[in-house]
Amino acid sequence: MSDEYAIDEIMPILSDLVDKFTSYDSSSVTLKRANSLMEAVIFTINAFYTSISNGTIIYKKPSAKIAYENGYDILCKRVANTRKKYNEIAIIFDDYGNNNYRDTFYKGISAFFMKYDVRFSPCETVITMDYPIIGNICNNGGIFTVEDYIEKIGLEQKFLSLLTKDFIYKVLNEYQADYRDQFYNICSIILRNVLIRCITNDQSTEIDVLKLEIFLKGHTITETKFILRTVLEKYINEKLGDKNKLYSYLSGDLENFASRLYINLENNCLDRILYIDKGWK
Amino acid sequence: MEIDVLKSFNNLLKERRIESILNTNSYTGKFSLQLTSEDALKILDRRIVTLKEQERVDFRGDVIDKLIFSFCDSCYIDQDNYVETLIGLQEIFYYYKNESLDECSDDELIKYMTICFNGVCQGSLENLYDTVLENFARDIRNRTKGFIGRYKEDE
Repeated sequence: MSDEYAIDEIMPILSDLVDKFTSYDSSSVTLKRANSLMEAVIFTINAFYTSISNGTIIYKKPSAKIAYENGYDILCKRVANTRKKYNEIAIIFDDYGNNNYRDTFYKGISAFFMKYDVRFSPCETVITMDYPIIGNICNNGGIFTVEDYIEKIGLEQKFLSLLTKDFIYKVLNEYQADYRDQFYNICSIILRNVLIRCITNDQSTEIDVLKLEIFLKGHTITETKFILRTVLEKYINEKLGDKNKLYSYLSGDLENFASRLYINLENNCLDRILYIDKGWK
Repeated sequence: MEIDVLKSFNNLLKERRIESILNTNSYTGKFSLQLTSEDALKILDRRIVTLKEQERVDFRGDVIDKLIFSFCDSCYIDQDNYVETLIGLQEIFYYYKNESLDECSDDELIKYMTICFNGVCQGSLENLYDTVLENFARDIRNRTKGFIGRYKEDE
């Protein structure tokens, strides 16, 4: 990582970057600007070492300059790949009526590609990513964070495409009439409804809340979490074949979901988290 | 970590710059202006203090050379006030780099300083610092998009 280099090795790179930044017009910059450019250098060198830890083999430790230049190329390629991935998802993307989902995907992410500066501020994420995804986003910053975000949105889209639009719209409307203007994750709401139908075997008829209540009372929270995981894995395997990424993304919601089920059970309001209708498949 | 390293970088350049400053003597000699090693050290020490005060980092450190070449033919500078004038010019330069939001280049600022110093200021550093460059910086700030309020036009 960048810590492996002495400051004497880093400084010439920073100096070159400052020259590029000022177009050789100014020999000095503010401390704040110098600090942000220093962060850019360190981030780029770290990007190089991250790619090494992901499989590239090197036999000799490169100089800081080479690590920086390679890191820069890696970041550029990563941006290009992420843009490609984004364009692929954009073809199939459906916001299911949620304005925040649509704005974040179409306006927010495209603004990132317009404004992201690989050379001078690669660690900036630029956009706020208002649409919340399940679990945490990669916190490496810059393109790494946005790439992870796009990938997770792609996984959500893949999952949602397994269900009929009619079912999704009905569930969301039932969950909250003005879900279109809300800032929550819509995939999680659908996922929960799907899983409950799976564990109660209500595949073509209405969900029987009593049946669910009996199920929850007959299992501990740990057992329920395990069952939910198994059901989710089975569901994904049935629909898509072995999809580890999708499973690992969606399973991030199960911990919260199980807790929510038992809290609602205690308060006698299980129906509040479920949409009850028939013909969901 | 970075901030401290960057601050110390201004000190690192000191050793390298002394020789460069002394080399200017061969040119300024024809204007009867000479700097000793002690003078160069004094100028560079003040440079570090100025950069610290202005919260700037100088990566090339050639501003003092540019100031020497640009001001050495001024009729308001002689051997007696040479070092103090250079130190003053150096302070004014970094101060107005900040005040102009880095929107003008080193050469542009030095050129303007030289014209004003030899012209309207008649060799007065106070006048240059307090009045002339103040107006110059304000003018630049009003023209640049970086100045607060300018973005309203885009909305």
